[in-house]
Amino acid sequence: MPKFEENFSDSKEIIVLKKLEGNSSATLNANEKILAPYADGLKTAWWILWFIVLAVLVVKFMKLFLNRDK
Amino acid sequence: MNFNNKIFNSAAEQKFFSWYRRFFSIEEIEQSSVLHWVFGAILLGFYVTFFRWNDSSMFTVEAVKKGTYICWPFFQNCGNWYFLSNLPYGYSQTTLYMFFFVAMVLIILAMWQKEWVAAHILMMILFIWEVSAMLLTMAFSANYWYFHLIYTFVLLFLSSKLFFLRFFFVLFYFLAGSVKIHEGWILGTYFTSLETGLPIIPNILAPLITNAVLFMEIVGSWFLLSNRAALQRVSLGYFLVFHLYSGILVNYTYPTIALPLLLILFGPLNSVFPPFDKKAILGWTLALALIIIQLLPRLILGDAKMTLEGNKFGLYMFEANHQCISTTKIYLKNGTIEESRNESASARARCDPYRYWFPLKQTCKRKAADVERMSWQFDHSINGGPFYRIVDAGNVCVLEYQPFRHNQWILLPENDAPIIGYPVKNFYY
Repeated sequence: MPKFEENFSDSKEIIVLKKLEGNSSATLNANEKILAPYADGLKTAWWILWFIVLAVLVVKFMKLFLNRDK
Repeated sequence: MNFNNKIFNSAAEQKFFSWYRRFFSIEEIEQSSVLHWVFGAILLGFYVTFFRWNDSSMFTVEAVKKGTYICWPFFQNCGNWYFLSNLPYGYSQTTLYMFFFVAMVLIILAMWQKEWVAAHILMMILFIWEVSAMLLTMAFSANYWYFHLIYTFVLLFLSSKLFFLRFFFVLFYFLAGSVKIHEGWILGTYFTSLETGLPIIPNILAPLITNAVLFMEIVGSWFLLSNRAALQRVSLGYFLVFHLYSGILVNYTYPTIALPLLLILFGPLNSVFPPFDKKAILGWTLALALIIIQLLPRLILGDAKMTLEGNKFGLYMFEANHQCISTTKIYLKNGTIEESRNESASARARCDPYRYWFPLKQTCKRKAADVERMSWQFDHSINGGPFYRIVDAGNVCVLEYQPFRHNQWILLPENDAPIIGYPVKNFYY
């Protein structure tokens, strides 16, 4: 693993070069490129799933609470 | 209760121990071999935690003098409360931690003798210190210490300890899943923007692996609580591998705190019915509070992964791969200019503008007689994306940091933060 200074001196130089190229997506691999156009949609889908799971849990625990003495 | 009976044998003392035992539901610990093991696992967590803190200078008087300390944004004068000195400046910190070491040894003795009230009291001392230290410095804000703090709280304070330990263990996976709902994990760029990529697994599989982690943390983790043995075992096996694999990146502390508890709590196949009595209110309230706190950064304007505002209020582990460049110019009253540039290419160093602003602000205060103004530029890249200049301030000394809302001086990429370049691949270290 390079030392801090070595890595930084490299990065400084390439920051300028990449700025001229003006596109960081070149670093994406094949699978990432397939998903990249749908990233925002997937993000929304994951959030929807997260809240659905939360809602299901709340409902399940509420049911258990309401039926606790039965 | 032999130990208590022999040493604390007056009626008042016996009354106190009887109340203590009842108030903290210690009978549950006495009767459950699983909780005996949990007690040991939590104690191991204290050992690895204090092993790290004992050697840290971040919470010392000297750190305040040098300006290397860091307070929480909601408690920015924490340095006024520091009283310890670490080597080579003094012995107070190492003396204190040797006191805690003795407490840990005594806990082992108490556990061995089945003196659970004594073990509980001693662990309470460790817990009080853990809470105090974590409030007094932001340097001890690693997520595995959040986990440890909550597990210890549940073990010491709540009733229905076994249920809530299992529940909070799974809830943490679920909350950690919300942290990863971001391009870095959905596309896998967190890892593919690393020079070394994912450990062992080829980078081409990164999006599959990262989305699988998301699914298991959000959905699969709840199967740990399932009565269906097959589902429960698949989930347990997955998280066992998950902790061993993530340990390749995060080293020993996280797996030491999480793995023993995972095996102890979910290794034995038994279901525990959720408690709904009055004593359980504290546990459910804590769960609700953790969910709300986790969602707090979402209520602050901007992407918390980029601005880091509110980022550490909830879990934040592995939220994004960070790189940053901080450039300051100090304009002294004698006409000279001191320039400094600080760069971080470590993926896990959070590049929190607050973390850089805080020491600069302390310098403004300490050297007010010499400093005319201090300009500051802060460039931040996440997951291999562009470097945005998110701070471009003419004078840091006049900036204030608001902990619970967006700070206007932190520029947002979607509004006015300009792109100043693109990073090369970095490293996790």
